Amino acid sequence: MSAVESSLREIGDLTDAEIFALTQNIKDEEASRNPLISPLEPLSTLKTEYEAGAQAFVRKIESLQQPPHSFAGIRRARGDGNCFYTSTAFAWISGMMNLTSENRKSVVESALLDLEKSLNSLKAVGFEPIVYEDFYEVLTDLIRNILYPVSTGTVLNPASLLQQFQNAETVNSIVIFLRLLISSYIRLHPDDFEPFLFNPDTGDMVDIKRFCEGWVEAVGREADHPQILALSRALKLPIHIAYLDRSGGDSGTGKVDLVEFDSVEGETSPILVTLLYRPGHYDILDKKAEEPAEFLVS
Amino acid sequence: MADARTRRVKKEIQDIQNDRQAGLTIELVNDSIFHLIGSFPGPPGTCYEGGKFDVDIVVPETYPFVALKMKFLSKVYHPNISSASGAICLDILKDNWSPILTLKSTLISLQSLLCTPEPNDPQDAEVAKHYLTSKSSFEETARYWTETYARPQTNEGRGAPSGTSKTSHLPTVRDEVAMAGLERAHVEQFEALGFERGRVIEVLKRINYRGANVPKISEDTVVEELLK
Repeated sequence: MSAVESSLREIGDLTDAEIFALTQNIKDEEASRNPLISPLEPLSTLKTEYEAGAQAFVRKIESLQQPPHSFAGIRRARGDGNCFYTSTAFAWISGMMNLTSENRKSVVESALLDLEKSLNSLKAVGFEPIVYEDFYEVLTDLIRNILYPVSTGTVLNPASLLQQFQNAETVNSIVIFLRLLISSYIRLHPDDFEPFLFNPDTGDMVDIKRFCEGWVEAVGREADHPQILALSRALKLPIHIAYLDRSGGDSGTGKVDLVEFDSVEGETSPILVTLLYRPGHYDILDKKAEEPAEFLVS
Repeated sequence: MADARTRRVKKEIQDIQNDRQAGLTIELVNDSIFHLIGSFPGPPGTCYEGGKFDVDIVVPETYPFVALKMKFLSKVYHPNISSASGAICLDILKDNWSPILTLKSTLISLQSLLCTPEPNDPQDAEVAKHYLTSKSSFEETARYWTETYARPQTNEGRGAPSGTSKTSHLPTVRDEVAMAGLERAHVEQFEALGFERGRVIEVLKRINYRGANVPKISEDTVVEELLK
């Protein structure tokens, strides 16, 4: 019996709980090798990774580098099932930091006000303050830190933001708060979502409660269209997703499908989040190829 | 930030203590708020009614981002609970955990698990087979286990099998047979062939010699199993 056969047989003897623990360990181990959010790197490094393989991917990356997209960098997120949430949170907060100083104050303050108002939605759908108040505090403290020195004595800068996103407890808190925000938004707008909710494993339709409990509130469950749409609307934040897949084939034009989730039609937002989607994973796209020079000094 | 966990767990414990109506209790083990014993009453109208079920709870270090670790201390006869170890098969304790769940809501979920067994996703395969073969016989056994192991007054001997520790309840033939969810007549039938009672019970339990299965399993098959 080969090693593979013998290990397969052993897996067959395990209980569900043991298999769950095992896959969880593999996921955790894989995940812990990568940072939750990495420093910017040139998009050309990603292209190099595909050069030996899928040409469709190479062409699409090239087209993302060119106008009208003109992306130069990628910021990778850890593949732990939370990558959509981690990426969006990072890109959103860093987007607020990058605004001109007169814009920044009003955008940050209205974001804080909206988050405070969103607590009413959380309460309205039955979440108890005990389960969300800590997460709310972590997220709003970080956003407030864009304008005001909080406990650290300095305002947030690109380096300290990246550092905050290395802290698992901080990131987990933010991810869970976004998940609860989405869940409450979907539950309060049933007509917009109910017809589009499916169990991603079986393809069966599911009701709102089951969907929110199983695929929004549960830790580590990946996000799909309904979650992205709900978050975009709840935060009034346009989120664009560039799909990097094999569609169009290896000899295709390299045209990238860009799906735009815009919060409210006609409303313009000073911040735009663009994520790169490869099957099962989200990273952040950036117009810059690498971190700014002053990054290392601070 | 580790104190966020402490703060939250303290609040959750208080939340249970302030709400008398739910009938839940929570106690610390060795003065630690991260190792607890919770309990809830068996749901009315079920074969667990009248029982008080104790659950061992460990709060992991990265709580609430990972699930509470829970297992039954009271022995429970239920398809999704191991009759031997108390291990629980419930999605929210595994990959459907969410930090919106608390000590209180998780204990309430266990209580409702007792109302809604999922025999097709079992933790205890033998119990699940019993449930699927004859629900009325399963319920009778579960009720018997509730009376024997989940009596609200008897705090000592928690989790330990009855009989050995309680001299007033020495096991009788009826006890063992009822505990296994078998018919006394079936056990006696094979005892009469010269097999030891414990062995007969073990085998009949394993092959699920109950209800509609009985006419399908020949006496010879049972004897073969007994001789193995």
